[in-house]
Amino acid sequence: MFRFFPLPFFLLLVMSCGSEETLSDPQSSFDRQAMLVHWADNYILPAYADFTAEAALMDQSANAYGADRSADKLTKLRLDFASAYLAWQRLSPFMTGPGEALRLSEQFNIYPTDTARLAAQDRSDLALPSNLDVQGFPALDYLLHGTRDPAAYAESIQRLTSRIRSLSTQAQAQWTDGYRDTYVAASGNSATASVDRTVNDFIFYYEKYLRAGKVGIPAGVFAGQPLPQLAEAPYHGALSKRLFLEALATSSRFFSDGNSLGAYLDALGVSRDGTLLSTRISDGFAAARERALPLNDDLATQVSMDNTAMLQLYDALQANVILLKVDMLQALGINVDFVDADGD
Amino acid sequence: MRTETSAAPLVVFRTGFGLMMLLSIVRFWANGWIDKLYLQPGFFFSYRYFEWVKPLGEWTYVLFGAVGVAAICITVGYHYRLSMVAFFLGFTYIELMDKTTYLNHYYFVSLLSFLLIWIPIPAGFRAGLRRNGGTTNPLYGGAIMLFVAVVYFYAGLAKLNSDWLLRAQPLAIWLPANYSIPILGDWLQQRWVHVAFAWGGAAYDLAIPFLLLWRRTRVLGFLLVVLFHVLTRVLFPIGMFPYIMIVSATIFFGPAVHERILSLLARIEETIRRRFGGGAPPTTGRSQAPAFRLAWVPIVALLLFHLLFPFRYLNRPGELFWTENGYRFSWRVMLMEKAGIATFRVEDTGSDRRVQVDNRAFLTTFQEKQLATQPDFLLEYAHFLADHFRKQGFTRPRVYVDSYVALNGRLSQRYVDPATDLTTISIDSPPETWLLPFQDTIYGF
Repeated sequence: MFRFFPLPFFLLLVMSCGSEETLSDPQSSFDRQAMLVHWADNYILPAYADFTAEAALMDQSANAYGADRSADKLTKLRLDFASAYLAWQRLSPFMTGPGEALRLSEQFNIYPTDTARLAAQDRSDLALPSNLDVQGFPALDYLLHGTRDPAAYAESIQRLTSRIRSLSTQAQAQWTDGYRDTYVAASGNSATASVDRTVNDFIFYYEKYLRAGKVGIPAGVFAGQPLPQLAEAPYHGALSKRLFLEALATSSRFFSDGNSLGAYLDALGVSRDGTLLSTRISDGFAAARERALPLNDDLATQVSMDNTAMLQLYDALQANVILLKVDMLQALGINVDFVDADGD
Repeated sequence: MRTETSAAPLVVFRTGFGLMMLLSIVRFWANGWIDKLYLQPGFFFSYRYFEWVKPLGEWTYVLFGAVGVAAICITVGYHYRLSMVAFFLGFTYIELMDKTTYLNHYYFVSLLSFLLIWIPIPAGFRAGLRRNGGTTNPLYGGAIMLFVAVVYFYAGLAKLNSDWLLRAQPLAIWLPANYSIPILGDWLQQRWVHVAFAWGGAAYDLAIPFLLLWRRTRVLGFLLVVLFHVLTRVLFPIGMFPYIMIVSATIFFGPAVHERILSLLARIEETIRRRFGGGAPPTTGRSQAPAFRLAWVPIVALLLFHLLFPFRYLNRPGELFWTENGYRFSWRVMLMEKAGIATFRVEDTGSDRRVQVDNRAFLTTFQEKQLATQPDFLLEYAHFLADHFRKQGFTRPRVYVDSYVALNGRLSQRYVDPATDLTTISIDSPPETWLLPFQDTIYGF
C-alpha cells in the first residue's frame, strides 16, 4: 500500500522547489521556567520594592507638608511625587497576580481626574469603584500642580498618598510571601499559566495604557480631533514625556534584556523575511523612542502645538502592537486572551 | 435478487453515532458553551442565505435538549428515522446560528446525519444478529464507508502543499507549545519531529481509507486510527472529534466483529431490563425501518456533492488560505495558523464625525479572533457597523478597516486596503476582488 504514496510527494517536492524558505534550526527547548524566574526576580520584585519605597517617601513628604505647609516642604513633596509617578511606570506593565487582584492600575492612574469633586474635597470611600477618578497620581497631579493653593488640600493629599502606599505595600507583601513561588511554578502552557498571563497583561498594557492612554487618546486618534486635556499629568506641565519614555523603556527592556521574550523567539528560530522577529520588535521600540525624544516635555502642549508628530509617534507604537500581538503570539503559540472552545 | 448482508455493522454504527452525539451535546452543555456562545453575544455571524437562522434566546436550551433526546432515540433505535430527521434538522440549525463556531467535524456530523436518514437500520441491538435474520443491502454500509473514506482522503490531499510538507507549518508553531508533556515535550521542539509529523499525518490521511478497506490491513488500520486520534487529542484542543472518528471507523469491520459487539450490548440491555423490571426483551428482531424505494436518489446525490463540493476552490483565483473562498466545507483541517488584528473606523460623510470601533463592545473574544482573519466576517461586520452607526445618527457612514494577518509563521501583512470603504462592497463580492493580494506563493493542493 505504501509503495504508491511517495509518488505524489515526489511530484509535490518538484513542484514546490520555488520556495526559498530556509528555516534556521532552533536550539533545544527553551527554559520557560528560567524566563519566569528572570521576570519575577529581575523585573517584578525589584519594581515593587522600588515603587513601594518611592510611595513611602512621597507619603512621608505629604505628612511633613501637612504638619508644616511651607514652600520647601511643598517642593520636596512635588519632587517625590514625580519620582513615585516615574517608578509607577516601571511597575505598571506587570499587574499579573496581586497587582490585578488589588486593582492597582485602576486606582493609581485613571485620568482625566475629576477636578470638580477634588476641589469640593469629597470624602467618600476611595475603595468604591465610582471613585477611581478622584485618586492616584492624576488626582495628586491636580492637587499639587493644578490648584491655586495646595496647602488647602493637604489632608486630601495625605489621604491619597497613604492609600497608594498601603496598596503597593500589600501587593508587594503578597509577591514576597508566596506568590513569587506560585508564579514561577506555573510554567505550563495553559491560559492560566504564568507566561501566557504575563504576556497577555503586558500586551494589554502596551496597547491600552502606553499606546492609547499616553499618546493615541490625547492625539485624537480615536475621536478625530486632538484632546490635550486627556493627556497624562497635564497639571505638572513638564512630566508627561518623561513618564512616557520611562514606560517605553520598561517595555523595551522587558522584551529584549536577558532571558526574555526576545530570547524565547530566538530560541525558536523565529525570523520573518530574513530578519529575526526579536530584532524587528526591538527596532520598533527604538523607532518609537526616536519619534518621542524631540517632543515637548509636556505632551498636552505638544498636541496643541504640533499634533502631527504625536500621530507619527502613535503609528510607530502601533507597528509594534501588530508585531507583538499577531506575529509574536502566533510564533509562541500563546492565545490572545483565552478562548475556551474546540478547534479542528 | 440482491445479495443481502448482515445488518450488524449498521446497527453498531447507529448505536455508536447516537452515543457520541449524546455525549457531544452533554459536554457542550456542561461546559457552559450554550450560554457563552449563543446567549451572551449580541451579534452573530451568519452564513449567506441562512441569515434567518439565529439563536433562540433561552429556548436555545430546549433546542439542545431536543437534539439530545433525538440522539438517545438514535442510540437505541427508537423511531430511528424520525429521530434522525429531528437530529439532522436540530443539529444543523445549531451549526448555522453563528459562523464563528464552524468546525469541520460539525459539518461532518450534519452531512452524515442527512445520509443516515435514507439508510434503513433495524431498531434495538438484537435485530442485527444473524440468528434474528437482520439483513440489509450491502450498498448501505458501502455508502457510509465511502463517506468516511472521502473525509480522510481529502484531508490528506489538502495536506499536499508546500507549507505543510516543506515548511512543516503550522505544526512547527503548534507542536513546540506542548513542551510540558512528559517525554514527548522535548521531542516536539525538534525540527525533524515537525517534519516527520507533517509527512506522517499526510500519509496517514491518504492511506487510512485503503488500510481499512483491505481485509488484511484492517486491524492495523484501525489501530492506527486509534493511535492517531488519541495523539491528536493529547496535542490539540479538538473536543469530541477523535472519538467520533474512531467510532466511525468501525463501519469497515465485517459482520462477525459487529455481531460480537451486539451480543454484548444485548446482554447489557437484558441485565438493565431485569434489574429495573422492564419486561422481557423482544425475541424476534425484524423490526427493520422500511427502505424508501427512491432512497438511492438522495444517497447518490449526497455522495456526489460530498465528492465534488470540496473542489469548488479550483475555479476561484487567489491563494485559498488567504481568501478562504472555498476553504470551509472541504475537509481542510489543521492546515493554517492564522492570526490577525482588525481595527475598524467609521466616518460620516454628512458630518465630520468619526469613531474608532472597540470590537469588544459588539463581539466576544472568540468572535473577534475569527473576525480578524476571515474576509466574509470582516465584510458582514462592516455592514453591521454601518447600520449601527446609521441608527446613531450618522447620515452616511463609511466603514474602513486597518487589518493585518499573519499566515503560518509569515510576517504579518495588510489584509484589506485601509482606504477601501467596505460599505461600497457587496456582501456577495468574492474576497479576492477586494482583499490585498497574498505576498507569497503556496504550492500544491
